[in-house]
Amino acid sequence: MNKEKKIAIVINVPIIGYAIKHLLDEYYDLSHADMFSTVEELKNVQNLDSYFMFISDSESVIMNYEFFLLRKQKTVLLNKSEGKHNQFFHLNINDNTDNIIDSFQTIISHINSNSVKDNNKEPLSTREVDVLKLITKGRINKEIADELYISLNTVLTHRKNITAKLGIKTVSGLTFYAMMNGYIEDDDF
Amino acid sequence: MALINQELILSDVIIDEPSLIPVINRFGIRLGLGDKTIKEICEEKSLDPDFFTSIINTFRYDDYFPETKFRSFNIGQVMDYLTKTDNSYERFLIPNIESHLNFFIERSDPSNASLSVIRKFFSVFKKELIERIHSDKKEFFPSIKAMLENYNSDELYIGSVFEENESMEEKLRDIKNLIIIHLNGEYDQNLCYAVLVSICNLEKDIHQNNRIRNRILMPLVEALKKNSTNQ
Repeated sequence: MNKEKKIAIVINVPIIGYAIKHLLDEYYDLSHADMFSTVEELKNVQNLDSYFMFISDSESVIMNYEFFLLRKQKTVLLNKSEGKHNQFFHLNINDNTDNIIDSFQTIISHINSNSVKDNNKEPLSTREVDVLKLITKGRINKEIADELYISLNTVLTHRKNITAKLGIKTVSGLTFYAMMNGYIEDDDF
Repeated sequence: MALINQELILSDVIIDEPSLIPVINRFGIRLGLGDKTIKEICEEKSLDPDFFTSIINTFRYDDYFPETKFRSFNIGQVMDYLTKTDNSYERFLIPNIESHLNFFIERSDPSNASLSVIRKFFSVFKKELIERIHSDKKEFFPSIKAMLENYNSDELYIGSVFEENESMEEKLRDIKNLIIIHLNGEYDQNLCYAVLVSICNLEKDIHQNNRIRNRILMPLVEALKKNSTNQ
């Protein structure tokens, strides 16, 4: 859902960043946009790759080419004129507003189809159910990893997937979900 | 989007956004607002119109958070507002959700076990929120008041945003999502909607108040603590 997608905007003219942020909120319901004046600031953020889209002026992209190349499937370059760029999505900020809005539509569709995450709410896999049950028993991630003979990273991935599939994040939430679906008994509460 | 200012007529503002009613109630303002401006009403009720409009605007506009402005207010004012908010949660918003929830469960299919799971989940959340409210009343706010009486204002350094544990907001969101995404079996859908609306109202309110707590109160508390250990 768009409401949970985060955007990172790197721009040294704040008012332009603000205009883009407003446009994305107004037309695409993308209400969570973080503004940065330099790429350095952006790089200091934890969980950098949870951003759905990076929007940046072309100078910053050129100065930090490798950084953005790694994320080219979700990077939008802001140009001051019409021009093509082979690697990245791009936008001409001097274009009229309607064209800009439309361009975003195309870009957002491309990013969505590029992303690996499956947005359909499928039921949980067997392994995910195993992890869910241990979460409801109050086990921490390390304990879950040990009990299931998997790595800590794998546990974290399973948890992320569980939250993405179910739309439930907290331990209590998952516990009550498990109760509602018969994965665990009702007696602990 | 137009920021609310003191010259506006309060009833117009409320007509535009009725969800602000619980907020103005906290300031002791009741409905039957007539055609008075915000400035006039604040004068009558001896309220600081600047503080009042800052709170209203913070609630109304998610993007708006005048951190510098809030820090210029008397921290006692902020704590007073948070205390009234706590009271309104304990006395009105939570019981309101509970009564909707109970009515909903009574009127739905009694064999639908998923409904009582929702009620249990809400009790868990309620317990946590009430604990925080009581701790505010008995320990936290009194300790801030005590520190305020002792501090040397020249040495007060106020740091940046304090990220408090958001588990309460997340739990409420999960309760909502559990209902919207995973509810099953037979139940009264209209009563279900009433439950959801009351939960959403509380969620929005708690979110705004957490902003005030985390970005104004907590940094100040940290600064006061540092200051008192320096003396």
